[in-house]
Amino acid sequence: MLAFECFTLKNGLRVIHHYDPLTPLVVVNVLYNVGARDESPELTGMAHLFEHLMFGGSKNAVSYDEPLQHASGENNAFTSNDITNYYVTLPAENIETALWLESDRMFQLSLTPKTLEVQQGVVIEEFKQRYLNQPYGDMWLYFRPLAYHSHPYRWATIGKEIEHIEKVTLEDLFSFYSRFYNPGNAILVVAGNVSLENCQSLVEKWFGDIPGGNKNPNIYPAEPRQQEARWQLLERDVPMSSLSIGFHCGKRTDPDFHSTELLCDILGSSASSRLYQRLVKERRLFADIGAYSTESLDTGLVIISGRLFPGIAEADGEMAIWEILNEMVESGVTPTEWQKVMNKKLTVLKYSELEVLNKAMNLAMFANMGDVEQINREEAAYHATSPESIHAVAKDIFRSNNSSTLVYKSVAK
Amino acid sequence: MNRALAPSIHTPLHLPSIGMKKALLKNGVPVYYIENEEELVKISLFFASGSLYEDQQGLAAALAQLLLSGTSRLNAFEIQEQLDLWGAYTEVENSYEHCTVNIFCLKPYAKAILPFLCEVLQDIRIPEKEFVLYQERSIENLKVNQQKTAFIAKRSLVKNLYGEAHPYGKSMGLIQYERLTLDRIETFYKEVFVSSLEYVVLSTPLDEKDIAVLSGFPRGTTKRPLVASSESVPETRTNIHKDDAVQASLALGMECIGRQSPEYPAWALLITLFGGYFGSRLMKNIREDKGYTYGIHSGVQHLPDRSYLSIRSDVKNDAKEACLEEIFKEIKRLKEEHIEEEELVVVKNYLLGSVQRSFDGSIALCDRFRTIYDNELPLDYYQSYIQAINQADSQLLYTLANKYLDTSDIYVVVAGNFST
Repeated sequence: MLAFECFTLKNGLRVIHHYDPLTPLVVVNVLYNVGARDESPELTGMAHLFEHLMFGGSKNAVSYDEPLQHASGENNAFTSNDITNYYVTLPAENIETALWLESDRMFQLSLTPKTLEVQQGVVIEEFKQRYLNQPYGDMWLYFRPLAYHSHPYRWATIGKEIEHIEKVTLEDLFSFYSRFYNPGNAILVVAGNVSLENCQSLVEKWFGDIPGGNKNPNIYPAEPRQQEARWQLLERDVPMSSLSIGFHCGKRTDPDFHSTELLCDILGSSASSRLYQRLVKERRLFADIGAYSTESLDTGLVIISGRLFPGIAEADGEMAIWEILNEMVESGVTPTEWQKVMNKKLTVLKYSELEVLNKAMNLAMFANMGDVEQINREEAAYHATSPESIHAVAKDIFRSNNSSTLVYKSVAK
Repeated sequence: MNRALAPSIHTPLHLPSIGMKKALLKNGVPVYYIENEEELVKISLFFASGSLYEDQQGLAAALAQLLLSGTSRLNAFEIQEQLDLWGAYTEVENSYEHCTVNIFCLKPYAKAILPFLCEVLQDIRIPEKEFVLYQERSIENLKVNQQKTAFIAKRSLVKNLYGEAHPYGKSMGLIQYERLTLDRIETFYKEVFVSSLEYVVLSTPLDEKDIAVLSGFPRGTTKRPLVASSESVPETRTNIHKDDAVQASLALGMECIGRQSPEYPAWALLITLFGGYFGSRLMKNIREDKGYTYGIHSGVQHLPDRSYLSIRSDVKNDAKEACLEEIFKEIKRLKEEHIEEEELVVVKNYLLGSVQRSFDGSIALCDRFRTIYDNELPLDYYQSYIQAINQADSQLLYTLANKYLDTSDIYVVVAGNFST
């Protein structure tokens, strides 16, 4: 059980406090309800580029990083298709430095031509480093538009193409900032060795005078139900061919989410999982293979992804995966399989309560999903699954006309 | 309220004591644990059978990967499934000194897991099929890694620093994987691993009865393995061309002082200021001012008995020479200019904070203890470390920069596209 208190400031900022007297630290986590799904199709990569600009200083703090480092703090941020999350860890005594910096950049961020130009360069190098200069690095650039046709999940957080990042203007940034970066669209978590009273008065002191704003309505073009199997081939100079098959599944907040997670674990999370045991160990078709879900706030994906040993035809690999999926659709999962993924999940849930940073991020995520109390119902939600509920999800999603397959065919140059 | 006024700050100068308790097993193996009441336990078994103990390259790493692949009674699937049923996560880690078996589980399961694991580890029979699969997968993964410029550059750097024949300079190529045999791995297991349990660390106490089963292993050596002297290559600059590279990977390095040296805390401070954190000179110059890279980092890499300074970055292909020039300019600045107090305070406080964070939580404390134990450092090492950092002044850093940062000793590797 994770104990926490919630309160809301007059300007709409939702605050969650978690007290942990065993750590000398405090975590200040600010989640903004904005991600790549909020971008225009003509200007993708904007949410992530904006995350970089949030470190360019604000009206009263010329530098964001330096005062934080001076206060012995560490910080980072990440952008997903759904949200942008900023987090700071520092000695509990120095909490005000974090609140000062976070409130000032929420209130009056400095957006200058120089910061924009430099961060465009940095993000373009990030694009190359992570997506272009790695074997299989561009998988999501192709996979997203294959699996999604209408919903903005059809592009990756880094953006569709480098040109989009190059053409962002200061005006675009200002309008993005005023739309999404306001107290009404944010969740602040303070977790660690700071009392509730202290947290309340300090948060009021630093965030209370920021003008309110509107919450993102989170309305997106719905992804129509997929009616046909999709398939795409990429020929690349990679040592092994690879296969990724994605299936539309429910949202993170759907009741069958927990069954979907366990389904993925049964298929491909450990060396005793079905895909690994059968296709790597017994049949030696794949060098590695796994399954996971994207845990998305809108219609998500279950992905099965593996790399084939040289000499194995891509079509044979595909067929072998389908044999296992069909078998699962046909016969479901065994009570032993359910038991082992359940027990491992319980270990993971306990593990996530060890570190104060993990606790803070999880609280922010659950609050953003609409009900922070859900964080303490996760264990029960997993207990409420059964081999039958997992079988039902498998039957629902593992259909050929719900699949998108991306093949990297190894072609030596 | 005046927003323009930065809040006052406090500098973390106190660390909790590591406070490990010690119990001795019947075989003389020490078990170190932290007194607390946590529900999750991390059990680490340190076997003195890392790569420095092998007589053929790759044996220790192969054994670590194949450690849970079969016994006379169970196959790999049965072992894994049993551990899964107890909700346990196991990882086997191979380093130069140790093969470490780590288990994360809820505390009540430890009672069942430990005897099971001991049975497995004392009765390993690796099936031929598992060995061949390991060999094939390693070769394919190597081929994938060989396409990454960062991987190529790093391998070349350590080879140049230590020489191709040295344990730290050599790396596993296709031929080394092909030369492995199951027979040699099993011999390594029988002759080295099985009698090498050196120490055990628990993140929370377990019942004495439950850990007693570990006394079934003969106690391993506590003597550190000898590390041969290295022979670096004469040429300090290496260019590696890769046709389709859209970025160039830079890897620079030189041998340097390690944790045993009394100068190390100040040296670590200097290297952090240079390129070890987000506000470092290299990051400010090459990322935040010029936008040549997503990130650049310098740090001290610790190997048993040796340490080296490493500087690494993936940069815009046509900015590779300009980046190198900037890196050397920044080194020159460290040797020519005294660091301003304002900059020094920031990096000191940052580093003190990072030490404080590395002490947060029982699993983090276990890791700190491991560093102390393996390097034979005093238990209050980190307390002295932060005092020394706090006391270091710009004169000392200036002296160290001039004493140790000899640019003619720095090896430079660039892997990227040289045809454009």
